[in-house]
Amino acid sequence: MYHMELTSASRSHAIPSQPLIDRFPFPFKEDKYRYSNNSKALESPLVLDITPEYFEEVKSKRDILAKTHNRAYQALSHSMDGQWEILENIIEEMVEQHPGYFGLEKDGDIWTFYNYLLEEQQTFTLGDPSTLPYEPLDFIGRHVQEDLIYIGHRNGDLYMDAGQLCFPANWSIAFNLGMTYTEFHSPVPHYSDSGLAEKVRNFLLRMEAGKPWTRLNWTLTVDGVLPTFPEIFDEWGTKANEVTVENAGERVYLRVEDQKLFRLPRSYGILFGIHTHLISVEELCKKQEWAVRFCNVLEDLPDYMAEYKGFLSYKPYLVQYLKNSF
Amino acid sequence: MEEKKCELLRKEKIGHHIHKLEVKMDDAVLSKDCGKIRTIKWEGHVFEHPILYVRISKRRKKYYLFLDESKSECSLLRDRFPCSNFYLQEDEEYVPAYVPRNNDQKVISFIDEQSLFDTLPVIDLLLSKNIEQQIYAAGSLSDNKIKQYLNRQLQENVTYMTSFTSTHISSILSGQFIGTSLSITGTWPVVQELKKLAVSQGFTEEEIQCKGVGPKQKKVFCVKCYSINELKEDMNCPDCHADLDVSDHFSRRLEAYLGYIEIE
Repeated sequence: MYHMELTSASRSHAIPSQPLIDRFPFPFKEDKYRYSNNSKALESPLVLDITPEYFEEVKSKRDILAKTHNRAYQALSHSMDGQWEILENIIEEMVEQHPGYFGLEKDGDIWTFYNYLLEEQQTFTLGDPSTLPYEPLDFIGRHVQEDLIYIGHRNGDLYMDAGQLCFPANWSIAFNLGMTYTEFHSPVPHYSDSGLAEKVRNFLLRMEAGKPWTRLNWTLTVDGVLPTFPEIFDEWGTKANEVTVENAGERVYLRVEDQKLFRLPRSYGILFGIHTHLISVEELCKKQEWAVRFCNVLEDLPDYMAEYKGFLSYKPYLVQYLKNSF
Repeated sequence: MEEKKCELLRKEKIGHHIHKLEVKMDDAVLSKDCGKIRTIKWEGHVFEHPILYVRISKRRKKYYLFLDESKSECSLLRDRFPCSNFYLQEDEEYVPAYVPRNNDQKVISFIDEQSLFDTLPVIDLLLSKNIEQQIYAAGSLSDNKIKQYLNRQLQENVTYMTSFTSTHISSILSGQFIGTSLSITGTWPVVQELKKLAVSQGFTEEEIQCKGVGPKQKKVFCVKCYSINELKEDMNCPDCHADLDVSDHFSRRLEAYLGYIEIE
């Protein structure tokens, strides 16, 4: 059967390039930010967002998985049904939404998956992990920019049962694996104490198939490092000390996680997709209303939140930089 | 360790599961100011049961014993003990929650529900030595009876808090005079955190006594190399030598607390 072949020349133009500032998911809707259940119904129920950073980010994910697999991939054995369901859903979405980038041939349970962007193909038998080079979640995660977490729904609670996590905002899936929703959120200040964690958990327990939810979460990262693993905090954490008023625009990045939650009807678990976007503060200041709003949010933000997000030490420099920009 | 005979003088129920007994030793005295009994023998029965003791009069060989009956599986012990005469055998390994120093003027104790039992004999010990004491108790002490007992023993010198916040603890510690010592007990991560705060407020190692309680030593998961080791002070991973900042994020699967990499 025919499938599209992309030459390397056409490949680099395959994903339409739109300036970052025009597509960045700016997270602040008002001049202050506090934790809340800020989930919204997801208008178009799609897991994937394919941006011009696709090639670079997928390569980075694969490098991380090759070098430090257990840092970026963890799964409990009972997550296998959920993993297959995620793989099937994502491949179906790929070929429906992006037929120019991905293809699929089905012969009963034998599927051949094509990634035209990377010029790769894989034939496997649905439900038979031995026909894939990696576990299903680990396989499909290598073709998308999103980090993919599988949350199991058992005994009336939600558990982190599996995940491929290459771009974490300073959390460890090797440590968090197997925890309940409330347990893995316990480090977030005031989130558990205030009862909000429990409220959101109860909300997620009632989530229905076909009605996905989305929310934006944010933090700051120096030098636009995507893989901010706590495992290598000594490599990226020290950068916070190097931020000054002069270099804040260039070195500090607003990091926004576009998080999406889908009920998986078959396994009755939840797919949690995280697409991480980075924009340098310098670039963000090209939209003055963003710079002003971001500055107001930072000034209003309580220290405990800035401390938890890891930028308390350089917040004054960043605020000064933003003020100088408008 | 020899068995020492004693006579029961008085008994009082001071908590839902806690009894306080006043006893007089018959011949041989117990070895320390404050210690622990390993086994009790009476009417030919021998029981292993945690009992803490504190000496109240050396001359008259009088002691208070604290017995937590919820830790006993033996109904005979629960229902019929104590009787007038019984024998005690000491546990030499036990380290009390606090050992007073010669120049102590005042002792501030930080406790939680789990370390409360270990604190009980220390309260009487400090009272008997006329050392001023102030207790801060964290968490919900669900046992109202023991709260009443503490209020009676300490009057206004006991404060209940939902949790220890660093700002509040710092303000408590900053206004203290020389001659004030600290007794810090509770779960290990909390103990470590409080100790760090105390050191930052100028308390020296000699002025701080720590005791972590719990069924077993706390374990720490090193986020850098994934090894799991026993928690110690100034945690440094024995495997990869990273300095670790131990958090109270706990994994039941790994039975360990998360140790973050600490950087300068």
